[in-house]
Amino acid sequence: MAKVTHLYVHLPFCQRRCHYCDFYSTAGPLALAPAYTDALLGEFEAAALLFGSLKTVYLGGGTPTLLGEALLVKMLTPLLEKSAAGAEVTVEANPGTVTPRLAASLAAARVNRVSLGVQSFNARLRANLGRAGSAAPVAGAIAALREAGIKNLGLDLIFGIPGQSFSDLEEDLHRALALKPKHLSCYELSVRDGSAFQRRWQKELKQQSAHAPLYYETVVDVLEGAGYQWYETSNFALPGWECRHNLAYWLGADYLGLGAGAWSTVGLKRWRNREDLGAYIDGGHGEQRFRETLSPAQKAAERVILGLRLQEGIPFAGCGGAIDDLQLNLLQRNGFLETDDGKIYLTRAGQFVANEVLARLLQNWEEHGAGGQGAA
Amino acid sequence: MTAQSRIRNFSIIAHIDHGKSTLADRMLEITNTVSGRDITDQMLDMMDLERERGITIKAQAARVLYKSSDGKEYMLHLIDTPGHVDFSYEVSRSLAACEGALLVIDAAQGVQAQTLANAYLALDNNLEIVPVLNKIDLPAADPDRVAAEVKDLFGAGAGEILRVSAKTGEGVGDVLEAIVHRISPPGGDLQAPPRALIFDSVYDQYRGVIAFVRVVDGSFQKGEQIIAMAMGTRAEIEEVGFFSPNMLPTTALSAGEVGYIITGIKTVGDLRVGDTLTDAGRPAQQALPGYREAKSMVFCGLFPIEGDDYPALREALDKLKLNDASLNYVPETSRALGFGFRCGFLGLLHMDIVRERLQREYGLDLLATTPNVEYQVGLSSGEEAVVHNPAEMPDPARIVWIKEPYVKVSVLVPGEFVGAVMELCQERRGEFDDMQYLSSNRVQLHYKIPLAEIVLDFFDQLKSRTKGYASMDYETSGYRESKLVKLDVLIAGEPVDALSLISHQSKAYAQGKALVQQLKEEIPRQLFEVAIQAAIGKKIIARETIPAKRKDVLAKCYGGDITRKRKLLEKQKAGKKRMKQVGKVEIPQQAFLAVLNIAKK
Repeated sequence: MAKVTHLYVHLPFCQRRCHYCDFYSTAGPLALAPAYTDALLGEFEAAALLFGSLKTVYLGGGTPTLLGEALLVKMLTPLLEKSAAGAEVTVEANPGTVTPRLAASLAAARVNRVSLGVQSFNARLRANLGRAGSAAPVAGAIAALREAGIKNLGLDLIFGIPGQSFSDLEEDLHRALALKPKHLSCYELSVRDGSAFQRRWQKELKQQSAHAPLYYETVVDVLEGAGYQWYETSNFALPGWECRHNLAYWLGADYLGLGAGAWSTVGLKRWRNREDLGAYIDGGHGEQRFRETLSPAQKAAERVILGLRLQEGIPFAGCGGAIDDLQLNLLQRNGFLETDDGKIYLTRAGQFVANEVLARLLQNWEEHGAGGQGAA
Repeated sequence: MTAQSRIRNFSIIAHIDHGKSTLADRMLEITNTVSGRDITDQMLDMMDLERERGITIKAQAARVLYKSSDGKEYMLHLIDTPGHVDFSYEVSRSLAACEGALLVIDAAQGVQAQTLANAYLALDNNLEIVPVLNKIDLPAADPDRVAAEVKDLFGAGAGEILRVSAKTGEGVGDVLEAIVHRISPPGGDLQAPPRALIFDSVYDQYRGVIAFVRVVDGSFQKGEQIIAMAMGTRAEIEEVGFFSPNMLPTTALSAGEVGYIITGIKTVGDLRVGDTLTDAGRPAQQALPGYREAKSMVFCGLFPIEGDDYPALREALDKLKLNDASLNYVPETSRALGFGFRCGFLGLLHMDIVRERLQREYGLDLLATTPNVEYQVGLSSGEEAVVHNPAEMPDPARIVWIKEPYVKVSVLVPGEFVGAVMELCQERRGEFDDMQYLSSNRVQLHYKIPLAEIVLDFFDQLKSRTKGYASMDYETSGYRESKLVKLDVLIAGEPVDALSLISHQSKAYAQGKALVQQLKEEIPRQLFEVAIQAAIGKKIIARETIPAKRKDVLAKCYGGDITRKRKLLEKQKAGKKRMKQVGKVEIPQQAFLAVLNIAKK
């Protein structure tokens, strides 16, 4: 089997949990961070045989920068020994945690890309999301990172926040653009069914969802107008500054995830580590909460589902017959997708209704032949 | 053989929930016909559906031996009749098999329309009526008031009015005494060629058809050759017996007795309700009066949701038909819904029952189109056509006239709701006949209303507009010419046959508009803009547009999200499967019932 060249590291520590967040993280036990770092490195050692020379490394969370420069550097050092020259090394950061010193340490540890979670510059909207701190430190963080030599900077924004007006959204976009990031991720807020956040904002979320088409179109229009390429459903970059790590997911490459709650996909195997910080530290990094073996049909369908998120689309060859020809024809005739040079990709119109397009394209594909599933 | 002087045949007439079955159960218990431990609630209602709905669909019978206060033992035959207007023909045959009837009336609710209708039916059959006020144990019971009502309605002929509680058993002994002393014994001729009236027939998968009979003259026994006089069916009797209430074989059934005859015939259509059985070797000259064929009044299309289920649907209908001679069906092909059957029913309840049995007993997932009635159409060619399906209505240019069935509706309602009922009847193109005060606060209204206006939700509306106090009954009242038009629906330019409806000219525009609006609500946004139009002939009378779907995206999709996304996609696809693809538009099933909602308006 080909060696894995993409590595994700999950650092589930937060100052406080945002009300809407669906990732695995815990607020508080930062004291466990050193032990967790050791456990992570242990898992990395154990999995060493699977790795080739790493092309991308991504530290996500949680708030990885909460660990502080010493632990981050300690963690990054052995990982980077395995990395190829020119590897993309990303760290997610909360702007409030980025000091000039941290920026310098990251740069010294060969981190060359930082993704800053802003979500919104608007204090009222941040409060509604339950985000810690204000957006005031964003500009300073960016300056510090640039000063330290990290030029590949991305900002995350969310739209569809309870209480958000159209002008709030435009202001967020313009404030983000004013900072000239290389990369922008703009997500529509997604809320888990049955969550307290959903109950709290029920009415407001419904209104936001009615506005969502307009907001989404506005995001695309404004960012494209500013020279960014809409290269993935929710991601925009100046030409040449796409996130290579995330591209690997969307192109169906293998990846390993280390840490509590991290997902991995290698070949037809997918698994998830248990979302339990304590157990992970106690040597439970081998414990998996979920695992499945994909059938070739499922793998093919995933290639379509993920690949069509990209503006460049995917080669037909990877679709393994999952696509319904009749629908392909119909969708193409009606301008929702294009085929060109052995590739298939969604048009602009198609991107906005990608779920519907996928449901049609894959209508005859059946979710069968799945391998073992369930708790370990 | 029991002398006819010791036989009493009676049925129980009651409105739904007035305690007919409970009273029957109590009589079986008091006479030790069934022991207490065998009593399930409502012994005589055998189908699950009957128990659940608390209604009787098929007639049932029981033989009870009762020792009267005069010291003699009597053989009482109870025939439990279906209580719903859909089955009024079956009711009339059951009544024809009796000499008397208990008229059971809820002592709190008083006389209801159905009670009246069936009581009149009993009087038409020259039955002795024994009024019984039930539920006197209820706090709300007002037996004096209800007794006065009964006296008003039936005059002195009503005789003594009994007061009972079938629940506690109070007064039930008096009912048995009244049956013996007030109802006449049968008076058949034992020596005449045998005749028996079939008042019901059921199909048993092991025994074939079981005919429920009342022997009028002569006797029947095993081994005899018999003929069903109307259908001409010939067979040999395999078994005769009576109901206790389970079937018990006996040597012979003689004049005056009620029981069953098994012949090995396999479809109930060959031994129909109302037909007369006689001895093939010594046939009677004349059949018993009153036989007629069951006529379908209400029609709808039944389509399997999964096209693959079509053969299973056919098989299920064939099986139901074995037991239900009044169910009719012919294959139907709809451009929108594929292969299915156009089915004819006695009425709405009958339709509901069949649909529910198909789904429940045969596990079929069905889409039923909006019910409609039978139209007679005069064509310019001079021919006449009968139309059971709006989609088959001929081109307007070829139509000279259209006739639709009318019914005579009788509504019983407290005085304060008369206005509401009149309003409803007028909305439904009703024609006022008369109004009578049955008592100081009970009014009986008669209207002639097109059946088409009744079949949708008249009854529900009546109930809701009268806070549940009104009761109704109806009988057919012939065909009349009406200014009717066919309203078609076009979705994305394509006519959808299953959505067509026949509408009165005066309502067509309003209904067309309401229909396209309703469909706009029911049909989800598609990838394309979808036009919904209502048309009469080639003329578009209403239009709505469903805008194209603008956004349907999963915002995030990283590592583990993909597993979730795959499952979401499965859900989305499953949702699509439950829709009917009409042209390029996906239409949810409930949209096909949109016609129902607007036709009510």
